[in-house]
Amino acid sequence: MRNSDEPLSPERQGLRDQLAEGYQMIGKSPIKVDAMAKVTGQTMFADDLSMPRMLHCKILRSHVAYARILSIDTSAAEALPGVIAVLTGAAMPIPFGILPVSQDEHALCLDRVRFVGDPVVAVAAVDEETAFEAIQRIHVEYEKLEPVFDPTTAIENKQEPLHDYGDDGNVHKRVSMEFGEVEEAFAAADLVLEDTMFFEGNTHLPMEQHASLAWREADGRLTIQSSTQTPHYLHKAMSKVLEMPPSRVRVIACPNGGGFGGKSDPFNHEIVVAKLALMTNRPVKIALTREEVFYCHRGRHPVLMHVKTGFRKDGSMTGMHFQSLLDGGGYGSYGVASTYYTGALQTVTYKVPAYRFDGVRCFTNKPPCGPKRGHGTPQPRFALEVQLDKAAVALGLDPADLRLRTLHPAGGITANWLQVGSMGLGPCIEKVVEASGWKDKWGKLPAGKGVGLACSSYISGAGLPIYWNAMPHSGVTVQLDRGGGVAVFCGETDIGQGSDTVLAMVVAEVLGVDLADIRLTVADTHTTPVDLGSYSSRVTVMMGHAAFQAAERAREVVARSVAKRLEVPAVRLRFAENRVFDVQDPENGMPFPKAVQVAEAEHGTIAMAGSYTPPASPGKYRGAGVGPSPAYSYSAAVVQVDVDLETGVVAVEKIWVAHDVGQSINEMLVIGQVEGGVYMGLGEALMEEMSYRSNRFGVHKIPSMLEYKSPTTHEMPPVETFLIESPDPNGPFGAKEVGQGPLLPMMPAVANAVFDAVGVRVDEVPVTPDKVLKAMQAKDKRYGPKSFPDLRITETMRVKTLEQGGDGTAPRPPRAEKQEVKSS
Amino acid sequence: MKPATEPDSPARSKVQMILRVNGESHDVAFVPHKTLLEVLREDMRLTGTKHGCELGECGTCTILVDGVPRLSCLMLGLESDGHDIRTIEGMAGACGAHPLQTAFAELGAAQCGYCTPGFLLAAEAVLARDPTPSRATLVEELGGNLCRCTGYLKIYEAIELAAARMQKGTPDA
Amino acid sequence: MKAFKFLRARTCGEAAQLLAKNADARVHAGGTDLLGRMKERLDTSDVLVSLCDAAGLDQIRVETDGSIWIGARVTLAELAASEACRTFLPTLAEAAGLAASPQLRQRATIAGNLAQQTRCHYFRLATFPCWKRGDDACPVKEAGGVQDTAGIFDGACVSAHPSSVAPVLGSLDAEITVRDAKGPRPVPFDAFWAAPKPGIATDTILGAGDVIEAIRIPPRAAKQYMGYAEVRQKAAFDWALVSCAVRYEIVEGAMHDVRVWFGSVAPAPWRARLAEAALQGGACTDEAAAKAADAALAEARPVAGAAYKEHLARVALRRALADAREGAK
Repeated sequence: MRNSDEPLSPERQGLRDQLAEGYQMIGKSPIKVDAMAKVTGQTMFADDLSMPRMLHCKILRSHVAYARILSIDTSAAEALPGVIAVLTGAAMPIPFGILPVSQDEHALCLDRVRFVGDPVVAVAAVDEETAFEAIQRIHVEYEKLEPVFDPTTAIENKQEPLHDYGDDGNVHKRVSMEFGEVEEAFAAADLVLEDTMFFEGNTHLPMEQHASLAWREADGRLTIQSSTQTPHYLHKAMSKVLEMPPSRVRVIACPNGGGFGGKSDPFNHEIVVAKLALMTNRPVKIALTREEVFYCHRGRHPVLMHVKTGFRKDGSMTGMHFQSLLDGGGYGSYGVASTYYTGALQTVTYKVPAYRFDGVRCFTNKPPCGPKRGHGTPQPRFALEVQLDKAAVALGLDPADLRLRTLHPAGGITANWLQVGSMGLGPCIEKVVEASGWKDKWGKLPAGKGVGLACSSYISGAGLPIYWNAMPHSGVTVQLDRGGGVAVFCGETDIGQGSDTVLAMVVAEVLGVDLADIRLTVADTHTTPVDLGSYSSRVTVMMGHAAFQAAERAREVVARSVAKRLEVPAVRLRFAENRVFDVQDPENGMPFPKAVQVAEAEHGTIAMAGSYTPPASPGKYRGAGVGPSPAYSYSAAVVQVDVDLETGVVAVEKIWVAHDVGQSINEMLVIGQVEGGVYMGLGEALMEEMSYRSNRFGVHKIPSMLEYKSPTTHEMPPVETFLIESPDPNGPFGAKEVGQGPLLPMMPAVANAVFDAVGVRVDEVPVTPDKVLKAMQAKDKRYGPKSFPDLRITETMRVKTLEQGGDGTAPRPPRAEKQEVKSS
Repeated sequence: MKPATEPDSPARSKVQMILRVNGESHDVAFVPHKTLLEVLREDMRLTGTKHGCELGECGTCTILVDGVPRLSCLMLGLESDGHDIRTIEGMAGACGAHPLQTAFAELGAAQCGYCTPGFLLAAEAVLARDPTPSRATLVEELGGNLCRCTGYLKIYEAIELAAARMQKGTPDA
Repeated sequence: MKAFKFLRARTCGEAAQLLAKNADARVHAGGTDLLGRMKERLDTSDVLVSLCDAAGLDQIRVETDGSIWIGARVTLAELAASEACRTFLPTLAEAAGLAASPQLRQRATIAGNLAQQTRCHYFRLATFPCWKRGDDACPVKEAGGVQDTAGIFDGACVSAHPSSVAPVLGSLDAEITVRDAKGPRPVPFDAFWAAPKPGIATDTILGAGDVIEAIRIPPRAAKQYMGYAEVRQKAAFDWALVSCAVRYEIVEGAMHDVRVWFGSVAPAPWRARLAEAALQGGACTDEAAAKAADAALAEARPVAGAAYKEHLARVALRRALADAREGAK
């Protein structure tokens, strides 16, 4: 395994030998360590917590999209019996935000509100109803400002900018980079396709509404329990805004009732209840309403895209120019990273010899967008995979064959300097093509029925942390006790994906103990080593490595003592079935608890730590921090649809999906993640959208669970899942991610299937019935955006590719673009 | 900062009621405008029943009332008078988990686990009417419960496994 | 929720008496719409008069004259499962069985389904202007609506009545028994719906003190042809985008006594009289359906965002007529 530069001792060699003989735990499907608690209702989610003297918090939110706050009158609220404290932004003037470059949020708005739902005043009262009554008595005087709801307008900078930072006006981030010579690549192509596509924003819709409970401990410390995916980052934000040393702030992440990226930012309500708890010296809880969850958002960015690609006759690409315009909403959130991500992973699936990416993210007066499952990559993946389908048709090729001919080689470096490791996309495509009967179906089904194919890739954790530091991304401590119990400590957060189980299984594999002998302490900044959080599909790879290292070190200590006691070479020791024994004479051994006792007698208390830092990326240019990952997962899917020719209603009949996960840690959980990703992608493909009514109000079209359409049992088709295991040298046991990648092919596969069924292109997500029908009635048999605005790129960073003899840096200083900046 | 004073509206005075929950009678006092969901979670501390919207839009708060799946967020506590209420806390008995619970755990039908109590109770009601439900029956009967993690597939498989075991009379594997 | 008094009526008559004594009271039965509105503070009534214990209102009876009496508290699930409904009013059973979700159908009542208020989100979000809530203008007209909740006809309010059970009841010439403190009175289905008025949430003629007691479906001598069709994107937790219910008799091969009702296209269930007239006396064919749709929808002026519904209305009418013709219900 990587990250272990210590010399291989006989004890460690014994572990390697044991693993080579076969896994005890890895790849099997034991039940999740938290499953019985979940099925019996014993799991305590954040809103299930309560404390004596607890107060309830409600937040008054802006009902205007953009305005200056002129005055706030809270006197009537304060006069209401049962109201204990009223809090405004003035008490918390320090800004925060998830990215160091976007510290643009306040726990309560200071001077301006930037979207409908922006928090303005908070109340703590003896019960929820009183708090609700109180916020209704608060009068906020606003001076309305001209709002902007659309990035194509925002980019023109005619309104008062939402923020006083960013690249210019309402342009939060503008990026342009070119790898190789794209214009030359187009000139060398047999076919150049240009497409403009739109991916509407959508949201996570976790079943659990965000909730937090904060209190001041008797010794003055602050503790918060919250539904967060990133306790470490919340810890940093709370410490900053509340001006308390991190050592005196404790963040405990509760099990998340679904996250999907929606609980990855530090949130205003979390800081608000903490502040109220400090003010009142009482526990304070907030449970957001479903409407408020829609305002928290941080979901999928709406992205308008223009993609120009050169193809040779055999379907291979000569080069690609990808442009994206992101609608960021009111705040930064992860947006700078999201912007880069819309241009990062186009290159890791198919060979793109020359590549240019231009991206712009604008602020608009809507709830902030951020990371949703697939973070920034499903939108460009949609555009790319639909365009490949068009290219196949134009070139007279089968879309599956086209893809198989152009796969990026395993172990290669992409044009934009991403290091590909194991690469199982080919087998993924072959598997779904065979299982779905693709060759007998594509282009051959009766009118209204069709099949579509699409592929994807995703990172197994980001190569860099969110704030620059040289420390590990994940840490695990393993402590052995005399009874044979194994206590494992890690900051990771289980959001339902099963990371607790992965943690326990890795340790159990190394120590040869039962899962029942492992006790986990997780997601608590006071007791566990830092793990950066459950985002970017990083936990299995990073925590897995750290857990392996910690367990291996503990095993080493035990093995050393047991080898002496049994008088066998340590390399021959095996840890299995709660015993430690000589592989050449299995009767010669001792129970695991006895082994721990022997070791503890010799070495003292056994508590070992492990940690993990991802390998350095070959890309060294500015912006190279987004995209690198220890390993890339790959997925392919075929979707079969039945389109109602009269109404345009798309029914998905069946899905075949194959995912290259490297190596399953828990196969059942892997399949569960694939199915869940397919489900969520299908919702995005067919119906989910976070859209807004009008320029006048900027109110969310449907801040309700009912009107934000998501698939029910009726809309979910049967899914056949295939796992491709191509162990990656960078993965623990070869494992790669599975939580996000399988979502990505769904949207383009549905759009491609609709084309196969009714011969029209819907170049926009979601593919709703009215759009299908409009495309069927349109002359060009297409529905989608007609134009793409000038992104006003003035400088493009140029980086030589590996093939050009580059070294991963941008050797020349950025030079001015020849293209003129058009005035609007 | 002000001293705490309780609101004194007369409508907020509590009513006393005997609630029949999970086979036991409970003497519970609650304000009359509380939903059964709130009474269960806040006044009885039965937090196994979850909520996802409190507007009847997700099915998360599903409980059984006289054996029928109901949305506890749209039923007042007062309306449960004389009815037999079953929550997730009442599903496992002294001799262990219900076969549905075991099967949900074994097959990974609970990911985040938040919708799980509602699904389990809805599934129990399905099996009470139809011990060997078809996939189509499950799709129809569980159409009122949203899950954002599983895509429902493992939930169907778990119910089918539990149904098969209950038919054979074996509580689990 | 805001605090309220909860009064249980033992009979519908007692409910009417309680309503008379409490001017601001609301009628409670299934609570699926009312409690949601109260939680959202769209309704802040201090008193609920509940029919949850009221005797007899949960019954469906076939009367001696052949009419069918449906108590106000009969749920959509009960309608869908009722033998009488499935036999004599199959379109009603079908529409009820397709609505909402299983749990909501267990709770939602037929009377509540008729009296439910619009799902238009400007109406539902109290912080935004809404003509129906007393503001000057309708923002949907200005800025376009969402096809789910917007109708296809111009008017002061352009929302769409979400019920798909209501158009079926319309097609069956249902009569609504409304009771107040003075006693019951029959209201023809056509007359039950009120034109939208500024500042008035309700879409019906129900006034303070009124409570729906029952729905009565009149008897018919001749064989009835009934058809129902709806177009929906999702099979649960959603409304039909458009629904259409038809009923007619056949006299010497031609349609007579034709009824055509649409749901989700106007602020109230919409009776397409021009379509009825176009179909009357002709054969039930797809061509006749197309002509009837042309006649009915000539006046359609959908707001931006709801244009698709006009097309769906044509599809739904043709499918409903085909359902009646082929289903031989």
